[in-house]
Amino acid sequence: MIRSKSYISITLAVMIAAPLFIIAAGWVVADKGTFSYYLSNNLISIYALNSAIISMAVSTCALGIGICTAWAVTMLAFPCRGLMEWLLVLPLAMPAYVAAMIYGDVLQGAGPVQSWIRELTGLSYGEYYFPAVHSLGGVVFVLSFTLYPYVYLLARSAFLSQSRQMLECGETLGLTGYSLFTRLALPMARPALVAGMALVAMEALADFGVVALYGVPAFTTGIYRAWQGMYDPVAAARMACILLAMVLFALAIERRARGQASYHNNNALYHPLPRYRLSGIAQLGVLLGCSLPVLLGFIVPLALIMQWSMEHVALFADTSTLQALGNSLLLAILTVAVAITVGLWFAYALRGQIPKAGRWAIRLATAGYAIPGSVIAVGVLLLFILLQQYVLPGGWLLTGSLLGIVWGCVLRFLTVAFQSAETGLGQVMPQMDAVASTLGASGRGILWRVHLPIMQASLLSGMLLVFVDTLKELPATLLLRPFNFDTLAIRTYELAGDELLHRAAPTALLLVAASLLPVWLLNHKMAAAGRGDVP
Amino acid sequence: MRFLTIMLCALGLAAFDDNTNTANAATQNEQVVNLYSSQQEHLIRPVLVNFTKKTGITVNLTTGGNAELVTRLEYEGENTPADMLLTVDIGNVYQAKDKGLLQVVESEILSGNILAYLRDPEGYWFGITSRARLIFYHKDRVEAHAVQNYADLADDRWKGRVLIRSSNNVYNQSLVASRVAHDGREAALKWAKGLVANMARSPQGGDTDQIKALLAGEGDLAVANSYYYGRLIAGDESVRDPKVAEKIGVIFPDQEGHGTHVNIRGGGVTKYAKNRANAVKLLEYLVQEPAQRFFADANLEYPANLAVKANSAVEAWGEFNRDQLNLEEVGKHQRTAIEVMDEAGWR
Repeated sequence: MIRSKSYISITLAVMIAAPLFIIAAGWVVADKGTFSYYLSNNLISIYALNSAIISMAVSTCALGIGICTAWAVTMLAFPCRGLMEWLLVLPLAMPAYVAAMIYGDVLQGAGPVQSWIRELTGLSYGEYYFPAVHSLGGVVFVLSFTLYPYVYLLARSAFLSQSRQMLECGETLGLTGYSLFTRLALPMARPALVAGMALVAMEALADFGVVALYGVPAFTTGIYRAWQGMYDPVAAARMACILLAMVLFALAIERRARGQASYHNNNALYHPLPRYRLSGIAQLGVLLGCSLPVLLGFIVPLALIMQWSMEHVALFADTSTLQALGNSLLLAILTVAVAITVGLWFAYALRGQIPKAGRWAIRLATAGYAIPGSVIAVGVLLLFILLQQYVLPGGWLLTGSLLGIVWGCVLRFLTVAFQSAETGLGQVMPQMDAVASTLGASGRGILWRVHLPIMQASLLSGMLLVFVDTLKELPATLLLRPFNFDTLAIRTYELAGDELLHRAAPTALLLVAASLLPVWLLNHKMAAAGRGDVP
Repeated sequence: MRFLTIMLCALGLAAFDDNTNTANAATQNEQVVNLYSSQQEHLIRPVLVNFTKKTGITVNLTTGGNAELVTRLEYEGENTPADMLLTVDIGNVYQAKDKGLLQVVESEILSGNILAYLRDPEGYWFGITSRARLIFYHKDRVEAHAVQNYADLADDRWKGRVLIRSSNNVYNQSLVASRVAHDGREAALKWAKGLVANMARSPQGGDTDQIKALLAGEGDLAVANSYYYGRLIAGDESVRDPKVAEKIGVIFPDQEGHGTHVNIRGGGVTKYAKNRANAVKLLEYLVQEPAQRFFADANLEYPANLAVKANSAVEAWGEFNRDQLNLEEVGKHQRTAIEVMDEAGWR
C-alpha cells in the first residue's frame, strides 16, 4: 500500500513538473548561438548579479517591515491597533506591476510630483535631487512594499501563537521588552519568518513586470529578450534553468538551516498575551510607522487608480470587463482546487516513507513559484504540443480548454499550497495519530476528523494566497489561454502595455477589489489560527 | 482519488466553458476564422465585430505578445488552430515568414490597396497600418532646423540630451536594423555608440514617457513612434496634454537621405490555415475603407491604404518622405541590430 502510494506521488510530481523537464531539455538541443552570445558578452553575470541583489534586498526589506509591524500589532498597545492589524495585509491585493506602473508614472521627471517641486521652487529639471524611480532602488522599493505582507502574516501568526508561559518564563530569567523580542520571540518564530522570506525572495526572482517597466536588466528580462528579441526559446530555457538552479540552491540552504529541528506548537496552553503600554509619543510613532507600509503599498496606488478610473467609468459596465472578471474568478477557483489537493498529497507523501527520487521530484514540482510565468508557459506549451502530436491529436486541448492555463498556474503556485499543507501537517503531532488509531479511527477517519480540522486554518490561508496570486498572474495566463478568454490581469496589462495607463485603471481597480475579500478572509483566519481559536 | 475527481471536474468545467463562451474551431459547420493577434484587443475587436456583421464569419481572437504567438504558432505546426497572424513591427512579421509559418496570398484587393514597400514582394505578409519613428524637440531649447537626421542623434552637440527607450523595444531594434541595412554593421555600431553617449538618462519607460520627459526638461530631443505623439495631441481626453502641442515639435528625419523609418503592424495567413478563404477575406477587409478608417482614428496610425487619409490631426504634421527600403530587409537584420545595441552598451 505504502509502495503504491509513493509511486502515485512520484508519478504525479513528475507529471506536474513535466514542463520543467522540457525546459531543461534546452541543454540537450543545439544552441543557435544566442546563449553563447549572452555568455561571451557577460550578460548572464549581469543578470545574475542584479537578480540576486533584487531578491536579497527585497526579502531583507520585506522581512524587516513584516517583523516590525507584526510585533507591533501583537505585542504593543496603541490607538487603531485593531484596524492597523488588518490594513497591513492589504498590499497583498495590489499587484506589484500595477503599483510599479503608478509609481513610475507619478515619480518620473515628467510626473506630477517632480512638476510640483519645479513649480514650487522655480528650479528646472536636474537642479534638484530626486531619486530615480526607474532604477534598481525603485524595483526594490515597489517589490518590498507590495510583498512584505507574506512575512507579516506568517510572523504575526507565529508571534500570536507563542504562549504566554514561554514569554513569562523569559521575563523571570531577566529578559525585558527588547531582549525578549530578539532572544526569544524571534528565534521561536524562525520557521515562519524563513518561510515568508523565501516566498518573497522567490516572488522577487520571478518578477518580470516591475523590472521590465523600470528597465533593470535581470534574469527575467534576459529570458524575455532571448525569446522576444532573438526568437530563441532554447536560450531562454537555458537561462530559466540557471534561475531554477538558484532557487533550488536557496531552498536547500533554507532546509539545511532549519535542520532537523521541529517546531510543534502547543496551543493548548495558550493565553492572550499582555500588550505593552507605551508613552503617548511612542504610541503615535508606532502608529505612524505601521501606517507607512500600508500607505505606500496600498492606499496611494489605490487612490490614484480610483482617480484615473473616474475618467473611464463606462468601462466598468462593459460586458467584456464583466466577462473578464468572471474568467479571472473561474481560473482562480480551479487553480486553488487542484493546487491544494496536490499540495496536501505531497505533504503526506513526504511525511511518510518515500524514496529519495520521490523527494526530489516533489521538491521540483513545488519549486515553480520562482520561475517566471512566461517560462512555465513555454514548458506547458511544448508539453501540450507533444501530447497533441503523439497522444491526443487535434488542437482542441490548448485552444478549447482551460487545462493548459490551469496547469501553468498550478505549477507556478503549487509552492504556496504545498508549503501551507506542510506547515499544517507540522502542527499535527505524531502522537495524535497514535491516539486516534488506539481509539479505533481508520486512516481516512484520522484524515477527516483529526488532521483536517487541525490543518484547516493553514490550508485555508494557502488556498487564499493561491487564489489571490492566480488573479494577479500574468505571463502564463496570457500565453496559455484558449481563444476569446480574457482575464482582468490580461486586460490591465494590454492597456498599460499600450501606454494607456488611465484606461487600464478600471480593470486594475476590479482586480484589486476581487482580491480584497480573499485577503480579508486570509487575515481573519491567520489571526484566529495564531490565537489558537477553534474555528 | 480526490485529485482525479477534481481534475475531471476542472476538465468538465473547461469543456462547459468551451461550449458557451467560445465558438471553437471544432465546430466545423459554422463559418469561422481563428486569429492570433499581438495587437491589443481594444484596437482590433471593434473591426472584427463589424466584419462578422458584414460577412457572418465569426472571429475567434487570442491576443498575446509577439514572440509568444509566433512561438506558439511554430510549435503547434500543422495542428495550429490559427488561420491568421497579426503582429506588430516587421521584426516580428519577418520572423513568422522566416520560420515558414505563413503562406503566399495572391489577392488583387491586397496588392491593389497596400503600398508596395509595406507588403512582402513574395506575398507572405501585408502591412495594415504604418507608423513613423520620429524625433521630437523642445521648442524652447532647440532650434527648429538644428536636427534633421537620425545621424544627428549621435552627434557630440547633443551629449546628455537625447531621450530614447530601452533596446529591448522592438521599435528601436527595427530602427537600428534599418541603419544596418542601409549603412552596414560597423556604421550602425558607431552610430549606436554615439547615441548611447548622448543619452540624457539610462533608457526607461515607453515612448510616451520619452515625450513627457522631453516636456519636463529631462532632455532636449526624444525618439518615439508617431502615434504616441498623436495621442498626446489628439487622443483620448485622459491621455491628451495641451502642453505637448504647444512646446514639442516634430522632426521627420532623413528627408534628404533615405527617408524616415516607417514600420508596420501587419501579418498574413498561416501556412496551415484550416479556414484559408475566410482568413483572406478578413485580411482584405482590414485593408479597406471602414477598417482602415478605424485604425487611422482609433490609434492615429498611417493607413497602409493610400486611398484612406490619415486622421486630420496626423495630416496636420505634413507629408514626408518615407524610407522606401522594403521592410523585408529590415527584418533580416533584427538580430544583428540587437548585437549592435548590446555592444554599444544600450540598455
